[in-house]
Amino acid sequence: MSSITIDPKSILVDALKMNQEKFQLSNLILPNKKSLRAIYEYYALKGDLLEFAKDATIGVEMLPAPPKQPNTDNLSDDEAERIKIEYAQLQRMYEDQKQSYTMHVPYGDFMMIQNYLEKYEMTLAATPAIKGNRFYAFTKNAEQQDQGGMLGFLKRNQREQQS
Amino acid sequence: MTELIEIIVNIFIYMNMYWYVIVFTFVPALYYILLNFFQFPLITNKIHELVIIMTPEKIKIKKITARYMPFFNFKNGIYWFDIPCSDIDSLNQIHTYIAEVNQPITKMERRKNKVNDLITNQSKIKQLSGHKLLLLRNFKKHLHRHYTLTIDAEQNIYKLTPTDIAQPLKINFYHSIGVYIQKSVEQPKEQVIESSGGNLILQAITTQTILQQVQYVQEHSYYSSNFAFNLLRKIIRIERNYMMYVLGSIDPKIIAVIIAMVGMIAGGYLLMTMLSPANMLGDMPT
Repeated sequence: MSSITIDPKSILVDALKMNQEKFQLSNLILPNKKSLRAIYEYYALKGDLLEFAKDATIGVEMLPAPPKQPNTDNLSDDEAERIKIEYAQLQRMYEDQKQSYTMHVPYGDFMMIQNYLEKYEMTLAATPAIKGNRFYAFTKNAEQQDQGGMLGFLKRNQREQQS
Repeated sequence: MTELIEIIVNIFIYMNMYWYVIVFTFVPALYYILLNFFQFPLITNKIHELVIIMTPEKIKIKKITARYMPFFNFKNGIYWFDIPCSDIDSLNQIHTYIAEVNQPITKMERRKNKVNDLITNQSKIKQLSGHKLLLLRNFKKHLHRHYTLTIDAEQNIYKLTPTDIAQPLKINFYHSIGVYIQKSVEQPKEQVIESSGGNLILQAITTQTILQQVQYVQEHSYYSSNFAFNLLRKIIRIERNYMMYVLGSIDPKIIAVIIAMVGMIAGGYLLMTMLSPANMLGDMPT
């Protein structure tokens, strides 16, 4: 009978990867419980700005064709790399356009809102740096977790005796 | 009962004795009532840039005192300025809005850059003031009860005309006004040639039109003055407090208010104990 080894961390990562934004939010280590208000206010403002900018005449049917993948077969390495970067930029722009048109928001307004909200987004993203342990869950082994105080001391003693 | 009758009789006797004081105090009051009842704010003594805001029944008229920002604030709404309409006779300029709709009725096509305006103008500068006349120079015109305001939306001009028919919107207790928008409609070429200048229409702004516009705004928040107002308030609030939200700290204003309240209660308690009769009495007699 073959035993299947499951890595719980990779399952967790795969599940969180399903939604990039939520994955990033789950990584935030906020300085305080009350700091959740920052996330709430940020998304409330973003939602209201996008709602205000809505234009009924704009829709996903106005979306241009997606950028074509460039053929880099007969090009030098440097040239191919440059074209790939350009393609990635175009692809990103297309994704933004798709998102804005799906929400019936003009692309100019959408970009303006994104640029305006960037400072809040960056501030939120920088919050783990306050504690400096962004990947705490992935770097620290759960078995090695030691508790402080009398309870931790007793547990450590018990473990040492067992080994 | 007899005392009360005595007081009333005395009041009448004094009124009879000092009637001239009563008359002189009533003159300003009467003038104030006359001004408020009979003034027609669109007939001004000086040249003004005015804002007209139409609610389903009434019209509110305000005076523009500054134009530092692309929009102004009126009650719980934000309204965007546009090219005003001018009167050739009085040289006044007017901006006409329907309450709750943030663009003038003469320029209802989607105005660009509203989001940019809200993001970049985050101060609450007062740009409107009340508009009341202190002297009714052309009293005969002010005394005329009903007027029509015809606005040419394309040439940005307006005309104020007295009429004998009561109009749908009220300005004050005495006056009523009807607002009409003159627009040209596109017609097939053959028809235009046949009827000379027949492609102009006159759209009356009635209570029903205003209600329809308000309903439209409820579905399209880009035109809502109240939505824009709340959004601007939210932008200002988050700009000011975002770092406090992220750090999860308490607003220093709230702490200051709590300290002041505790101080006031403690101060009051101390004063009461100091001034209480128990402290003022001497020692117990032995």
